[in-house]
This record gives sequence, C-alpha cells and structure tokens, in this order.
Amino acid sequence: MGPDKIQWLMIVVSVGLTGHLVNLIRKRRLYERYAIIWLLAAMGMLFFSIFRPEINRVAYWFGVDYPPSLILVFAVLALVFIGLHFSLVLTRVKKDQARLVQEMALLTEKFEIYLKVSTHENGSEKAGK
Amino acid sequence: MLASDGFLVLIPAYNEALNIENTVSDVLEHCGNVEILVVNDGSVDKTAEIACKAGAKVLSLPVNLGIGGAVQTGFLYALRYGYQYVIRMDADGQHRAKDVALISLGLLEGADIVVGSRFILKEGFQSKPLRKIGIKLIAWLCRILNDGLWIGDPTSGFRGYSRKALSLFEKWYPVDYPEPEELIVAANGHCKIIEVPVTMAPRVRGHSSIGGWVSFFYVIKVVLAAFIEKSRGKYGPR
Repeated sequence: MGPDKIQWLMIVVSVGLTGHLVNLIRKRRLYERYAIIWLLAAMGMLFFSIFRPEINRVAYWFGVDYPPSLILVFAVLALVFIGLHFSLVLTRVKKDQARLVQEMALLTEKFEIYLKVSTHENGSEKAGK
Repeated sequence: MLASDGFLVLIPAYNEALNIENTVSDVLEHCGNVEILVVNDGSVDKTAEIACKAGAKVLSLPVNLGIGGAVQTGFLYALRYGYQYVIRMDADGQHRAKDVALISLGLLEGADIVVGSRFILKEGFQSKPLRKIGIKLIAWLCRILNDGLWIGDPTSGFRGYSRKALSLFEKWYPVDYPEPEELIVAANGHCKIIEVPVTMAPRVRGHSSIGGWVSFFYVIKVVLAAFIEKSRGKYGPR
C-alpha cells in the first residue's frame, strides 16, 4: 500500500518549504542562523510524511492513544519555542535600534554645534579682513 | 614598508581589555609605523580606551554587530580611505605580529587572500583535538567546493586581503563565523587564495566565543552557507 494523498501533499509541502528557505538564503533575504530552525522543522515534516507508521510508534511510547494528538502537541510546542526565539531576536533588534537612534541624535547635535562654531569663526575672519 | 605600501592592520575586538594592549604593542614592535585599526564591537569594558592609549586608531560601533559586522566595518574603512591591503588579526593575542611580514609578502606578490595557517609548520598552539577534527572537515568541504584548492586552516582569522578581495565584501559579508564562507565567496569572485605558515599562541586571557553548543551550530551554519554560496557560481571580472 503506497502513501496516501495527504502524505504526498505533505511531502510536496516539505520539499517546497525547504527549497524556498534555501532560495531565501541564496538571495540573502534570510540569515542562515534563522533558517536552520525552519529547515529542521521542514525535515521533520518530511520524515514523518514518508515514515508515517513512525508517528504511531512514537505516540504509543509517550502513552498517547491517538497519534495525531502528539503531532499537534509537538507542533504547538515547536511554534511556542520558535515564537519565543524570535521575540528575543526582536527585543535585541529594538534595543540596538534605540541605541543607534540615540547615537545619531547626539552626532547631529555635535555636528550642529560644529557648524555654528565654524560659521562664527568664518564670519569673524571675514570681518577682521 | 607596510605603511608606505598602503597596508592597514585590522583588529576586531569585543571585550578584549585584558589582551588588546599587548596585541597592539606586538604589531607596533614588528610592523613599524603601520596604521592599526581596532574595531571596537560594542565592548562593555575598556577595550577602546586601552587600544587608543596603546597607539591604535579605534572605531567604536555603538552596538555589537558580531565578528562579521566588525570585520566588514574595517573593510569599508580601508576601501574608503584608500588602503591597498588589509591584514586582519585577532585581538586575543593568538596571532603573532612577526608573521605579518609573510602574509604581506603574499599580498605584494599578487595574492588576493593570504590565509595564515597554523597547520603547515605545526608549531605553536594547534587547537584542541575535537576542534582540529572540525577544522579538517571544513577544510575538506572547502576543497570540494573550491575546485580542489586546499586551505588547511580555513577557520583562521589571521589573513591578508587585497583591494580586489575587499571590494567583494563591500556590499555583503557573512555575519556568523565568516572565515570558511569567505573563501568560497572569494573563489567565486576569481580571487587568488594562498596559504602561508604562521605560529599561533593559545588565547592568553578571556574566553573564546566558540564552545559547547555554539560549536555544533557553527558546523551546521558553515556547511549550509558553503553549499549555498557555491550554488551562486562565479561572478565578477577575472
């Protein structure tokens, strides 16, 4: 008995997702460090799409009678961890952004003082002549 | 010689207050009046102050960009201010300034990237056994992807770059653990890459940024990035 239609669909989705991730890295729109976690998820999906009986074995080992529940639990846990990871990344980006904006404001202020002093000195020189 | 030939010594540094003075002094002792640029990558200690007092020019980044960002900042500085060559060294004292002469000679003889390898003469610090295995694997990977070019120490940060190599990295440079991927980018960009023997010392003080789970991530990232970079194919003029 060959794979069901849903298995074929998941295989196509997993392979497509992997290809899309690789393409995003190639185009430098996605850093490898953020792609690795999604690539692992895609490979996990591919593995369980191909080796469907393995889901049952893993589920029974955890004491779960209805294997699809285990997939749901793992999927939700994975999304929670991925979400938390990106929340941490975003926090860091916001902190860095704030620091850069502050530095820019301080540099602008310094530059304006320099311009004023420079203009004043040039004006004094011309008046002296 | 180095100053008049347009050399810049680039030292990216993150929290290296314990080591940076010795590193800068070592360069001044062996390389004369060459310009030294320390890119202070958002350090929270007195790295910038100590480097400046030791005689280096310091470029302080307001936030930590990581090694890739810091090194690229140095490259941009070199390109904008007309330097012909950049010699990159680590701030932790592992690289010896006396070896700068050999790297600079390689650049003056026409190489675009000169990699200082600790594994040619096998003198000095040879890295821990597990890390050596990892480095060997990465070296073989780079050899397969670079049409047989053998660089035995592809993770070495002790390197020299010509202006042609610097131009390749002006718009984009690998962010994480850039050294192996840099070689594939350079090979794709028709750069001449050679390797010369250097002696490295163990880290004097402080901690390495690569250890534990980070090493595992390092290998995965390097392998993935290497294959994807190779898939981009050759570009630019020969």
